[in-house]
Amino acid sequence: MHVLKGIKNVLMWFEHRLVLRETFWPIVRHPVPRSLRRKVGWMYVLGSTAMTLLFLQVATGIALSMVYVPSAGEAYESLNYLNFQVPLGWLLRAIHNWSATMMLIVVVLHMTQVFLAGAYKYPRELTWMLGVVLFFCTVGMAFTGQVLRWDADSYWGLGVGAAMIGRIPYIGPALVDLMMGGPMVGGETLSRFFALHVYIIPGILFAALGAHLYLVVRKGISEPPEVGNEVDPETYEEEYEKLIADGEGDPFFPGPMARDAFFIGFTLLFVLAIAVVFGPDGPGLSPDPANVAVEPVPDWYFLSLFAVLALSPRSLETYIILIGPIIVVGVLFMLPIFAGRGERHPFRRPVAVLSVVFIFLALSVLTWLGVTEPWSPHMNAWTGDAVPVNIVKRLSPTEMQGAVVLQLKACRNCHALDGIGGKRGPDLTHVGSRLDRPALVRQVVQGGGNMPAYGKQLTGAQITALVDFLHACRPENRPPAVVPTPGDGVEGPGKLSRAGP
Amino acid sequence: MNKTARNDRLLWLAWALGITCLAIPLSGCGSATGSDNEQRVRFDDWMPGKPRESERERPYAYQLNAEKIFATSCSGCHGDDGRLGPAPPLNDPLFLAIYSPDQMLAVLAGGRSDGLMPAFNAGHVGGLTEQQRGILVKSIWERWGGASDLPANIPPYLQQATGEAAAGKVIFAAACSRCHGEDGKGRAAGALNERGFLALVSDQLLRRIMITGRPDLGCPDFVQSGSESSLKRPLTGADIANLVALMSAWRSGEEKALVDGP
Ligand code: HEC
Ligand code: HEC
Ligand code: HEC
Repeated sequence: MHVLKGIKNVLMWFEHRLVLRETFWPIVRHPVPRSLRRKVGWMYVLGSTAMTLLFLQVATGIALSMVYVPSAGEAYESLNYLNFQVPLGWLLRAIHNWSATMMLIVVVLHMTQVFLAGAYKYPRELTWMLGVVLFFCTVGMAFTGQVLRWDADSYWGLGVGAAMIGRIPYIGPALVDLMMGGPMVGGETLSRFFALHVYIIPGILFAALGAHLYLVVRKGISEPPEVGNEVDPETYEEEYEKLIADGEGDPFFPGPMARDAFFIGFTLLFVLAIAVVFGPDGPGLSPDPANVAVEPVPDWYFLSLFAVLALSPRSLETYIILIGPIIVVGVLFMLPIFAGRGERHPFRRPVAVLSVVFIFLALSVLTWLGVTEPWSPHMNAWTGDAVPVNIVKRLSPTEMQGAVVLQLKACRNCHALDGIGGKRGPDLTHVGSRLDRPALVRQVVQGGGNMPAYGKQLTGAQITALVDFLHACRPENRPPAVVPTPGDGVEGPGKLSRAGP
Repeated sequence: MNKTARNDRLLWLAWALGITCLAIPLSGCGSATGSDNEQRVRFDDWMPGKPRESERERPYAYQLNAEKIFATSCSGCHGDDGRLGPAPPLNDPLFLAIYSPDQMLAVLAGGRSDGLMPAFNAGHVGGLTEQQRGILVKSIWERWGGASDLPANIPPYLQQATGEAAAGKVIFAAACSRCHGEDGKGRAAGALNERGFLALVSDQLLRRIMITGRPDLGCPDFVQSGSESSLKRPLTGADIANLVALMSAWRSGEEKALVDGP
């Protein structure tokens, strides 16, 4: 009894100074609509789950930062040190990685749920907007986080990111400079991304989270939507007050909170389980041009984004890069301004439901395309992928030297022969039946369409041999291509006979 | 059990789960000891996600399997099993009989400045370490060397004395033109007297092809190309020097024509 009394005295000493019972207690006891007791209440657990995953990220992230060295020379080694020497260091990395993935998924689900339930409508517009900020912070954390792995994958992702930003008119190059610490990915880049990942974005994130939570508590948790119950700013608050009035609402703690806690515990266990089973991601080989055997792939959540860029025609790419983000951010941000009132129930909002379906379908298709898309050049095709034997057997001595030039200049890293090799450019097995000599020379010398120009890197004899070889790349017994030279002004079949081997 | 009690219990369970989840990773933050390749703890060995030392991604310089090195670094030009590539075959016992590992090591370290063979020293993209080169060269003789029925009087790999283009012309007409055409302008086999070819190959490669032929593509070796011609004897080292001189003359003639221009 003495002991208990002592503890109580100590607690009261603190309570007297902190006055938590007056400040904190009402917050956890804030009333929520009784209708949340129904099964639909399970829909409301996602926000707090995302927040808990964030805390898990902070905890594991701090632990990681005790070992990780954010310098280009040492990052790879320090991650391997975590993987192989620090007791359970690998598990720490695995949890940080999988819980980041999970957090991104939960945040997206939370947004979808809020959107479908119309919970972003009056008077919770600002809560939604802050949520959008939180979403982009999460994406930013995911991107900067994979950069810190500093292996070929992250290096590659950065290269694409830098190219995108560099195309913004006027300020693009300066922005790249700021982000990368120079015009290219370099030694300073890693320090910049470390600062972003550890100080800057988390700072914004926690500020936004604080405001988001303040609004959630102040404006109350939205009641589950009912068909035909329209949001009208004139009357909404009055009606909501009635829902949570004494005796009508439930205090958040312990009832509804238990549901959150249960789901959170389940999610954490799930994250732990996949971390134990699948382990950490990488680090892959360091981004060193001498490591020819690597085939970089961006993390899966960015595949859809990269797929858009890879699949869009080059002429549109710049517009997509510039205008796309403005539209996406703008629409997300301004959504509650345009659609801040009216029906909340999804049954009465077919456009909203259909757009969710459409967005998820589009993202899945793009991700799938991203998975199958041949991302990067095959770095070692030039020395490793043999010229197919049936082609070699047909070649003259000059054409054989042309084949060596094709290998030596690493054209194979982007171009396949008989399906083997890089897939950035078209397969060249039958290019001789598609293009005539002048067109081949033009393509090699001037490049174009995502292919570099080789004019300055090749001697005249090398171009001759190379073009001879490409010209010979056609099915046996198939005559060489007779392609009209563009711009000669002659219409009709007559001009076909002009160009030739 | 009433509702609040059940909720309370759920709550405590959830907290317990969450705290365990947080505590496990943090328990790993102890200091690590042990040598470079030694993991300090073993109790987590049963977890499938634990990275194994053997699966650690290592730079290419750690690859010491000669066949894998060949497949990664050489087969692109020299062919999958060292033949039938656009570059001269290495899987050729006659060639390996007149060639030496030291010569091959020198080519690998420095490349060929007058041919298209790149250098593979560690300073280059896709380069090999000295150790890798040694292993690779040794394995090439182990895999493809050691022929038993070699012809007699094989001309040496390196040229001994300079040849005469005029004498070469005669031999070419006798031994080569039936396939490569008059003056090497091409016939059943492709043209040799072409800038695109001559400017890109070294004289050493030409000499070597005349000795070994290209058994994989049907170009005869020095015995066959001489014996099956009006010469009725295998080509000698001097014949080959003359042929190389002829082809050098073609090469500089072509260059002159190009400089003078049409
Ligand atoms: C960075 C990757 C890359 C490299 C390296 C590359 N190319 Fe390309 N190449 C492409 C792309 C992409 C295209 C398609 C261009 C287009 O859409 O107009 C292409 C097109 C071509 C074409 C036309 C094919 C057709 O069917 O229209 C030829 C011929 C060609 N490349 C030859 C070469 C040669 C020879 C080299 C080496 C000297 C080379 N390429 C190196 C990416 C590359
Ligand atoms: C980019 C194409 C390319 C690659 C890759 C390549 N080679 Fe070569 N190699 C050549 C060519 C072309 C020649 C002939 C050069 C000349 O003398 O004209 C050659 C010549 C040689 C020779 C001398 C042959 C002779 O007859 O004198 C050796 C030995 C050789 N290569 C070994 C290798 C080895 C071993 C590798 C792998 C590490 C390799 N090469 C990779 C293109 C290549
Ligand atoms: C039986 C016919 C035949 C004869 C005789 C012949 N060759 Fe060939 N040669 C070929 C064939 C086939 C090729 C493969 C290329 C092709 O098909 O055009 C070839 C290729 C070559 C090459 C290019 C090899 C490479 O790796 O790039 C050279 C050089 C060559 N021959 C020189 C000679 C010389 C010199 C002679 C005379 C001593 C000669 N050949 C006699 C059939 C012949």
